[in-house]
Amino acid sequence: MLSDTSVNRRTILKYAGAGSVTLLAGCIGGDDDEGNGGTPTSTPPDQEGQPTEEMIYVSNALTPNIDPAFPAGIPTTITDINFYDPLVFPNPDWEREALVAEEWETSEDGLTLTFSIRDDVEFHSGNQLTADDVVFSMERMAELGEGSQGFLRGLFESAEALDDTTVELNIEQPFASLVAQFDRMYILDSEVVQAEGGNWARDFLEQNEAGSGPYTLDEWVSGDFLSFEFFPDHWEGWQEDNFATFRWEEIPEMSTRMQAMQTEEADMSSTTFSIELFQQMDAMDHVDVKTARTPNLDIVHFNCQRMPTDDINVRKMMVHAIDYETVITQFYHEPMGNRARGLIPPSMPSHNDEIEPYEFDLDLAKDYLDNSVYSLEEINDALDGLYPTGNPRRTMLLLSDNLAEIDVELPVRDISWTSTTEAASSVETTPHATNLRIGSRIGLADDLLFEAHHPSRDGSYVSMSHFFNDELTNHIEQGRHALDPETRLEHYHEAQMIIHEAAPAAHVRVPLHRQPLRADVGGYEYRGSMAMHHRLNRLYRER
Amino acid sequence: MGRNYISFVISRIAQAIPVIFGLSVIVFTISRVVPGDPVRLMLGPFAGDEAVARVEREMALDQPLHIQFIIWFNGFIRGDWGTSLRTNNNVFDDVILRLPATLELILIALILALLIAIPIGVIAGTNRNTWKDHGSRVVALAGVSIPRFWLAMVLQVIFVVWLGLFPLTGRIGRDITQPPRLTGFLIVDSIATGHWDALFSVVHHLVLPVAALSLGTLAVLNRLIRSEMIEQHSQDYILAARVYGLPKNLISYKYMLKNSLSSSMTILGLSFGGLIIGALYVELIYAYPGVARYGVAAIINQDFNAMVGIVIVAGIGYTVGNLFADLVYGYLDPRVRT
Repeated sequence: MLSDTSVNRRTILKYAGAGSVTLLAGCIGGDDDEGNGGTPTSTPPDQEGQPTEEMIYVSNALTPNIDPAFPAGIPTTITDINFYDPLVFPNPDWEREALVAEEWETSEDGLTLTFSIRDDVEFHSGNQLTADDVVFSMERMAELGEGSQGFLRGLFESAEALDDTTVELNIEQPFASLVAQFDRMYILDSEVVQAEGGNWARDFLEQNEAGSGPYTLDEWVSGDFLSFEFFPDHWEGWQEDNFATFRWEEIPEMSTRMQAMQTEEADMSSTTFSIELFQQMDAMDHVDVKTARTPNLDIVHFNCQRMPTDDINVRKMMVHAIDYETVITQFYHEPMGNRARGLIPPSMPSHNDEIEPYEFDLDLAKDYLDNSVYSLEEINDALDGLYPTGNPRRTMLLLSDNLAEIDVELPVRDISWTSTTEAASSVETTPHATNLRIGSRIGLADDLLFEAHHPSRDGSYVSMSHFFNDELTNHIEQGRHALDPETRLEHYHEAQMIIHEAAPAAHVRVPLHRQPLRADVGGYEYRGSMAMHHRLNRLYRER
Repeated sequence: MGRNYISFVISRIAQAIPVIFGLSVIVFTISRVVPGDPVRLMLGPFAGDEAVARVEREMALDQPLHIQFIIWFNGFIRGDWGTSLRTNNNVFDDVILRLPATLELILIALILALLIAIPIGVIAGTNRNTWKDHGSRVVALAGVSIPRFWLAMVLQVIFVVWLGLFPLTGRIGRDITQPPRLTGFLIVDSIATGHWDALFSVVHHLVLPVAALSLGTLAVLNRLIRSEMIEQHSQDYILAARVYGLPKNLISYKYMLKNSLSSSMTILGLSFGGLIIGALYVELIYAYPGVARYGVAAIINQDFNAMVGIVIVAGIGYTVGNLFADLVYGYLDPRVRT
């Protein structure tokens, strides 16, 4: 049976301890709708014992580059979050809590953030982590403008170390979700990096780490495996049941990965499986498939700048031609509660509860077809749809079948992921309907609204609807820069409603996060922010 | 070995060079014109245009196709095969690291196929239309009709998941210290350095991939040897040998087999190429860290430089395999040298 992310005795004790620290430390920033401010819940070092366990993780891909400035997805986050310590860290409620930054304060004009950082953090080199290292790391990220810290480019004005434990960051304009983004503000050992020469030591950091995180790089055969070894002096401390080593092997074939879980050769696997394989794994006695809500969305983009889907009637015809219940309950074996309600998943702060999702109704779809400015012949001559190879296939085939019942022909085809990203790069190459998964990197509305519907982000697979207008852009920008949480919320709600009413996409389903894990591995908690749940010192072997 | 044979060798090698060059042109062109944007794939959906442009510039992807080829080919002959998007290494280094693993797998599969195909083929050929011949036919049919990837999966389920007899993936146990790299062939290196536990582990890891890989080749060779044996059986010299009262096994294995094998050499060369293709699936299923799995991952991830490098390596494998077969055939049969 699929189990919710478990809360056990150890977790309760941990959060009880963390909560005490929260009460003592307080948080100057305070919570808001975008999760900023967070709750400082740093756990004091615990040197009860040295870890002895080994974890084997199998995945379809390894990272090619361990520089935190390297722009990639989940694999790079796994190395980043274990070799480095970020300023803040998402908790299981997707709020940011303290990590290296014990406290933070935002100025009234929203242009200055002041971080107070821990004074007990040591780099793997033995150097002490100070405010100078934080400033250096911010400047590097802002200058390179890539990777997870790309948001700093164009926003960063200056950073200054006020003393050894205080950093002041000045930005060009207020940015509501800024603190949340700092869960990827990885702090580099400035002394080590500067000793490695120019260009911000990119060549060095591609292959070497210079962090203070809980693990160090042990061995790496790129494309085959990576192994980590625990850093004994990590400030968060260790328990005997933590993992001393972590071996990450690339197994591209999903059936082999499943068998690695079945034969107990692996403790954890990446999450790229068919729904049937998830079910098979969940039926195994020694494997749990942990599930959790996500900030992701299964979506069918309609290209709003090509005929005939530039006509809202054609788009509404298509949103009413999707049999959402069959897709969610039959194809994905999930409850209808996972039905998407607009672009922002209901589990996210800032979701607009007034949005009523479109229902499957072929009569209504036919009415919209009749109202279209295009004839049936014109529509049938033009329509094309695609889906990246994998799970979306059935949804698109079902949509195509349903449309056929009202005489609309939607030919669908599968293509590789690389071809999908290329198709997304321009209006002309984007098909009329594309089914894929999008999501927020940080679990916040700002991120998803901006990436999907801000004109500056046109060209990625997230923005394949190519739906932009001045009013929407204004709300997205106003929301991003609003200091008052209420005002920000209003803008985000308006933006969601504009998107919903224009139906630039069918928002189908909020997928569950499914993580295959050996049943005796504890401490796993999904955190809503890309792969942050892979901070390995939080995991342990239950005995 | 006369001058005639040496000039034959030189002419065959000279013919292989334009083949490989032509292959490089075709493969490079195809890899560049297939749909997809590998740079965006590498950098992720949130990468800015500047980052994309920088990587395209670094990889010369912003240049016209023929310029890209010249840059690439110039580097290729100097051992700079471009950077793999997936591993961030020089493709040449990646190939050199992984090639011995694949060669070890293929050579052992080929040897195993020969060792089994020869006696089965001889027995089937000398016992035509008996149950032995029919049994051999069943093996051959199964061998040519069962896809290697499917066989690999089935063997995995039976011998790893159900019976627990063999390891699931890899080339050597995680807890085994690898022998120092002398040749990259772990069996050779283990023996040369006396790492017996490593030798056992390597052989243990090879059993299933080799079984899955060799069956197809075994089937083809078995049928070929059988038909050659039948043909030899009707030759006058065999009749004479039988009249002289030579033992049946001596006639079969010394005279008939020797002549049957010479015509199998051509197929053996082609089989080598077939094994490279088969290794793509087998290495993928067993996560065997060879150059074939590297090639599959390159195709999946549209890793241009790696794709080109791997296809050329496979092409060279084919060419060398056929060249070898040609040379052996030419050595055995002087008539083909002209």
